[in-house]
Amino acid sequence: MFSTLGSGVGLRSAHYAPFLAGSVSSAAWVEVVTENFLTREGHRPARPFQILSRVRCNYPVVLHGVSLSLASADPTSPSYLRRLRELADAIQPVWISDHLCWTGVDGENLHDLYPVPYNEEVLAWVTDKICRVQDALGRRILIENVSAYTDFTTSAMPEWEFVAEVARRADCGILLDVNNVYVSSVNQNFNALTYLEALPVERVGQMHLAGHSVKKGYLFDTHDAPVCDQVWALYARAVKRFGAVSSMIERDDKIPDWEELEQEVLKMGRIRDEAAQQAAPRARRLAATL
Amino acid sequence: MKPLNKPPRALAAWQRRFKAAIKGQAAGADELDLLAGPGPSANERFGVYRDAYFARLRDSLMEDFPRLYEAVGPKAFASFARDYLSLYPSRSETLFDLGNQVLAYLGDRPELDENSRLFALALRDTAELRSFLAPDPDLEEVAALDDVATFGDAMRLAPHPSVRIVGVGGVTWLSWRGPDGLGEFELTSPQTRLLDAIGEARPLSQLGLDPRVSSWDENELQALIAGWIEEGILCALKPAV
Repeated sequence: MFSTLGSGVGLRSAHYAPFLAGSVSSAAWVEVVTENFLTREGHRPARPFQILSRVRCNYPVVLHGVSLSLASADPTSPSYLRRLRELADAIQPVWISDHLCWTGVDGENLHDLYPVPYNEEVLAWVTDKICRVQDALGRRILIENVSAYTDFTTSAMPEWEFVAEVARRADCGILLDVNNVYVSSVNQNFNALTYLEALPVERVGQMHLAGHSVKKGYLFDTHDAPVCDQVWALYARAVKRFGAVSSMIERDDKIPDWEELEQEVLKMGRIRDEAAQQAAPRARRLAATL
Repeated sequence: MKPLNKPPRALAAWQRRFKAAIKGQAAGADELDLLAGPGPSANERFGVYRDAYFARLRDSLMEDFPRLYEAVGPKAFASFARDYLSLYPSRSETLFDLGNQVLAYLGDRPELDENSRLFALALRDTAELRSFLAPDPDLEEVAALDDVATFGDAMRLAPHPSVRIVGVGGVTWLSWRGPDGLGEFELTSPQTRLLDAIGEARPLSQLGLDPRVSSWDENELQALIAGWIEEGILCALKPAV
């Protein structure tokens, strides 16, 4: 369903230089935050777009949004969709993704990724919104599971069931954030492997890896640290189940030099290759056909 | 396209309650259907979201308005951020727009102590942010300093696209994005007139004739222009074809 791109990284301004020069070989593709490049008030953010266009000459680009707000009670903004389509036409991303969450309501953006109660009513609404987004963009999107610090009494199914069912009904892909699964599993006391087992193999098109912070009594998804051992182990299990799908490292705070981050990208590649050897036959077959 | 399904009424009402609690406009998180789990209480878990909301937006404003932050300190800045966010909630998909109304906010408060000084600092912060987002010059057009000898007076000069000039309280500031990052300095009156004369892509042959630069000593002018090209304040452009 989605191409296998190998190892990637979230492109941040601290690392523009090597990607502009095309000198990075450890990462075969980059993911950028969509909203940083959309037109605003009729204008493109000039320099960011200029840089993205140049990087695009050297590397495949994935557009990863944070404000589509698919689980908001607000309908998707037509203006946002139009500008996303324009950006996609200009950059020709390999694919477009966003989160299975809401970021605001009544037109206000709270700039955070909030979970929703997982029930049939919300499922139907979110599915409908994703279908409309895909129609408007003329392509399938991937939806990412978010990290959560609480669940709700109005949930009628576990998150993994909700994610799988949304993907099936909307016919979209899944961007599996392995760190988010781990963070939520600790915060909400569930077995992370149960989550992985519930997701349909053929729909997982990309994986995210990131670091988090350990707080008193919970884990906080901060993207400000290296990937921890538990998440590496969970990633290996995910590769065994889903195959060697495109994977990348996200770092948004306390961003190290490229040379340091590159070591994590290389480590991810080694773990993926090793685990892929032991992948379930179905996952291997799928990978081979893509 | 088929008619849009209506959002579940319960979802909209719940998200409104959630939002109000996040923003501290509701008493607490009691009506958010939070599920108690192991460890922290339901309210403590919700507190993670509430604290993260304000911290993220305050930090974004701090990043965009470093001079303002430095001048008032963390406590007063946090209080400003709370008040600002309650009056100008974000309706943009990006945090780049979060501070767009800060000048309007400060402009509406002439009663604030030192308001004009804070307004001036915010104006300089805004100029710097615009310098950061401005494009690079068209690389096809840019000439190297060594090319000056080749092109002579036909070479053109232009301010770098990131150059922003703001006049506040009788002082003129120039901010720009050079090869070493963002910079800012106070422009003298002759320098301001020189930049006016350069305008956009002015051939060197015409610059010397401009009355706004006639008072400059020629060697001094050449040294200044060479220095500004080196620092990325001016672009040396190839002659127009």
